[in-house]
Amino acid sequence: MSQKISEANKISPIGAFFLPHSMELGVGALSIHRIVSQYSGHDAWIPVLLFGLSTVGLMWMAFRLLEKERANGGSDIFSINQRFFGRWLGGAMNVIPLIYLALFGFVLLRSYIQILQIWIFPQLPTWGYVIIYCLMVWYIVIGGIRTVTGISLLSFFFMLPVFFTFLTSVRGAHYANILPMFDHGPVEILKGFKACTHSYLGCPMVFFFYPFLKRPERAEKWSYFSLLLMTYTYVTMMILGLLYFSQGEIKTLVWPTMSYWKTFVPILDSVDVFFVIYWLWILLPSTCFAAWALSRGMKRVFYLKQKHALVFVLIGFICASEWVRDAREINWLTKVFAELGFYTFFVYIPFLFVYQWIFYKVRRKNA
Amino acid sequence: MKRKAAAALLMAVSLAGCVPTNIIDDILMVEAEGYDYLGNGRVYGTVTMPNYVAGGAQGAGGGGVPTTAAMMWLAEGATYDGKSLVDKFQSKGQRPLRVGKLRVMLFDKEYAKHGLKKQIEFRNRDPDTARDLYLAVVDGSANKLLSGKYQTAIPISRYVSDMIDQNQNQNYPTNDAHDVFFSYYGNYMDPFMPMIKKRGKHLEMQGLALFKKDKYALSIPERDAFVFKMLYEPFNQGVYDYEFMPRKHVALRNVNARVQYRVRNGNGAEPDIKAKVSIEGQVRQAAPGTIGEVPIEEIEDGMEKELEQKAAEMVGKFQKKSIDPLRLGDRVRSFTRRFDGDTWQDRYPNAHFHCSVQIDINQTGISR
Repeated sequence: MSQKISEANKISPIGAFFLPHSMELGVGALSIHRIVSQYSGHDAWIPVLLFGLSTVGLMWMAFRLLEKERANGGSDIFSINQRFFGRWLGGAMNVIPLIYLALFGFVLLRSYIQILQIWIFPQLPTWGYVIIYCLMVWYIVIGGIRTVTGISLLSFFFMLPVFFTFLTSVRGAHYANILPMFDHGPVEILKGFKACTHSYLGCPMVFFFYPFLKRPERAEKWSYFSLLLMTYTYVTMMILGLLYFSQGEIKTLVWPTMSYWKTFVPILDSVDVFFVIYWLWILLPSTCFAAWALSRGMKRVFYLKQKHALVFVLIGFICASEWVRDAREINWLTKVFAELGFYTFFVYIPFLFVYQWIFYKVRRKNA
Repeated sequence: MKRKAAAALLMAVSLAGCVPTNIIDDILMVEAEGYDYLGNGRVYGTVTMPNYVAGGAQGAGGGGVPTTAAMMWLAEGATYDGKSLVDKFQSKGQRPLRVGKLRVMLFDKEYAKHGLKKQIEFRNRDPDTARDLYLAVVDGSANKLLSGKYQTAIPISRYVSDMIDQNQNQNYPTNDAHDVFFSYYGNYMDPFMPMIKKRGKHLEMQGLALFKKDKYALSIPERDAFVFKMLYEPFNQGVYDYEFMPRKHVALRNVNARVQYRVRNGNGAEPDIKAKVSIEGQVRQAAPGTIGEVPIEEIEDGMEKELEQKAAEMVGKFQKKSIDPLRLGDRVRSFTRRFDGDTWQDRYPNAHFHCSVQIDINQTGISR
């Protein structure tokens, strides 16, 4: 069922640093302030921090799960499902990761185009942009996971200046905004915690690229670094946003991060326009990875050739982005996806983890 | 492979034609908008924009070529409250009007009294405009201010925005559109804007216009701007003129002013708000017979008393009108766990405000 992956197609352990990082950072980062603080108010940075730490826990679980499976051959989510739940039920369950990936790639792409249309090119036809974009994605993905990782690496380095905008700028900060700290009850914090999911959706991607890692035991450390760095970035971003906007104001802004960028450079106007275009580099690795993993998943589940599956996926993206027409539908999809993501994180993955433990206990007894 | 690349290229080229461009030579960039209220939900709008034209021959030194100032372009007309002026005057432009470089928005007092809700919410929604533009209230007519003749040849929009900008570095509290949005949408605070006036061939700052959410409620004169700023934010460039004895003035140039708030009993019926202001300053201008002849402590003490008294009076006035441009409510919130925001409006007028000022004159110039 699972053929051997040649050493030449594998990525080095440090790839586990760049991949989760660029997967996590997405369009969610632009609206995180509003989405989280509508529940947790001026304490919104706490759920962001908690969620970030819990992704590290999830990553640990994922590595334990996958490590054990490596001994048995294929070690991605598809072979795990099939091994645990049998050929038919496992095959049916494999549709869940496929849906997750499809939504991951598509929601990101479609929301980005929406921002592009709102901010700069109101007349830009969606299909035109998507077709060109998908050609680019096709070109990258056809090079395999190594090329996709390379794009992640580039994205990381290209995004460094953007991160610095979150680390340095305190112009117009009202420090009293986040006082008093810890003023919200556990229910409000938990609601905010759930709302954070939208920004951390890229974290379980390790289930797809794990078999492609050289020396995965060394990659584990890198992936924790990556998640911690991302958490740090999100928390600083969140705090700066909270310092800069008043609570009432944040609720009126759809993408507070963009509005934040509007004024953060003292001598330049409209830096936000520049960053909208620059944000393409955040989008590119994520869609490429989604397309790659999706086409590979279809190969595993439906026994297609990956090349053909990829074309099918990209055509799917193009058609779907024409089909989803306005902001309301995008919001709905985003909400559905965040819900799916939340249960994937806190139900599905822990369930697999526990199930695996029982599975092998029972097996050993029987043997 | 080649064929596919060619197809992609072709598409990129053909797509470039789909989106209208905004080339800077081919648009008119609106830099100032003025609104005068006509009553009954109608406003008289004015927009100005510099008309950039291609320069003359190179090396001509600008001779014979009109400057931007001379090419200022102005459109005006009546419309309904809340209408985008750029859309309104699009039909008058010989080139497309664009709003991306808007620097100032001016409202006359009548319009401010009527309420700026529609304008503020429109600007907050519009992705094209910056958040560091200035909103200001005009004492008089915004249209006359924008269309008037001035001594300087600088375009009026820049004249206004430069003047507000440099004053906000000194005695006036910093306040751009972002600050207005901050207070307008924020809880337990109210926005304010600088007030300007055209006098003869000049513009003048006239103090601050204070709002009750979106409606003009009160103004404070220029001489109180220092007191306002001292309570509002830390700054280091103001000048305070103190009448030490009748007709003997001492001017304090502050090099560092800080304010610290302490709040007690934030959820009680009468919260205690204490502001501790410390000002470090220097004296350059002093009437003969003051500095050097009276102990400096005496001058400091007198100044402290006067500032404290003025601050208390000012906040008392705000409380009576129940407006909160100093964001005191938000400061109380930041000191109070589980702040009871619903009753704040009723409790604010009863709050005890106390201000203590600590002045330190650390030098008095180069003569004794």
